[in-house]
Amino acid sequence: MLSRPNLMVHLGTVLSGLACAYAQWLYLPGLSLGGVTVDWVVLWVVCFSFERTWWQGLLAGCMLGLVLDGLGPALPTHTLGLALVGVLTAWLRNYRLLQSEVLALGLIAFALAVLYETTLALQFMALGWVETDLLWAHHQRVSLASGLVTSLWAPLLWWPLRHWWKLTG
Amino acid sequence: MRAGLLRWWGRYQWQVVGTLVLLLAALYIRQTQAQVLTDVWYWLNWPLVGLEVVPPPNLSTYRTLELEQRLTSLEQENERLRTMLAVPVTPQSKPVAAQVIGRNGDHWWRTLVLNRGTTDGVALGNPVTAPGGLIGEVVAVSDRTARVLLVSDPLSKVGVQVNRTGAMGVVTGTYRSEGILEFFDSQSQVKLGDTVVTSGLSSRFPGNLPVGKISRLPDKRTEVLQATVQFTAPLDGLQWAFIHTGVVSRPLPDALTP
Repeated sequence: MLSRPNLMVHLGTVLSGLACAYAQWLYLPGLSLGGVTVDWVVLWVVCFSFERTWWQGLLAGCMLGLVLDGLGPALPTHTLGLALVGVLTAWLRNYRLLQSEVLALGLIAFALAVLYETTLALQFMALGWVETDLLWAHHQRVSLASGLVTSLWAPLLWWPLRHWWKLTG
Repeated sequence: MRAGLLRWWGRYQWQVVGTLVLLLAALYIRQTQAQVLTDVWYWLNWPLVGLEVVPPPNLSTYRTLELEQRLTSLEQENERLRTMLAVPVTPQSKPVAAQVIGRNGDHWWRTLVLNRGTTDGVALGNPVTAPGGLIGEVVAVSDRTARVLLVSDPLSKVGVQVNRTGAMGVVTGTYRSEGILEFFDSQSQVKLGDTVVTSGLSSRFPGNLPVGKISRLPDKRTEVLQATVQFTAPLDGLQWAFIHTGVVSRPLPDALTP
């Protein structure tokens, strides 16, 4: 049976995920690079999966992906990219290649934000809706810029979330 | 085996049930196009937007007031002439003013979320304008919000004509404040700065809404049929938009149907 503080922590986790899904609608000039904003959802999944198992990351990625598919157009699906982000974060973190937690988080966030944008670009190409030249030029700009701002602002989400999850003990 | 399973269930039942509930909720959100979540977002925004129907800021200066009066009289004259010639008059209703409560869902779409929905009479396919001209069309609605696909999105295609020469074509977005205009036939008379308006022949938008200005001419050697159009409405910093609810909705392109 779940205890009350435990339930509160889980509820907080769900709400923070939802807040990240909403955050993509906000345009905060200070948090963007050339008009490209932080991938809040990717960042949330990375933070969530950082100290969890790969299947927990997978489930979190799938759920947030489904929510995003509802908030925006359902195709191309965000579920695929975010599920990959969840699984890969847990897997990469297993190796503990870097001692510094924040540095590892930033690097993983950069790599996986680029990967996530690439899954979307590949789907757009498969669907054939956007002209290929325009698509890949846009992908280059968006993936690098969002990877950079996402990794730079990673601690902003990581610290509060980690302290929140420490409450579970 | 059975005892092991029971022990596992005893230990993890709440995690399993919780995960299943969350997964079902996520699926429900996806299938309903997050109508509940967008309505929640509407209420989260009310301190900024206000619950009352706030009129948009008055953008008129004396010069625009004068032009508006001239436009009204010309519109009336046009309507009279059309009735004399028995040409059908497109009904014009007063557009609904809406505030922008969200922009650009992810990096791959150019969209806006507006704080008007089905309760205000907004329907799928309604054209949306802003001071400056056409900015897009409604592609999803909930009770209190509407999602608009901007003309700068590569999936947006608007049938247009060049005002001066009458040349017809289609404007496609490029993620930027410029669009690509593809003419239906070779154009040699088009000049820089020519105004581009929605084509009256298009069934998707009412005719003669300003879209933009020609900012680059067709390259005579390679792309004979392509010109670049600078959108006149400022798509990036929009605060207010007008939804034309009176215009009959129509089926959306395949890519956008849920």
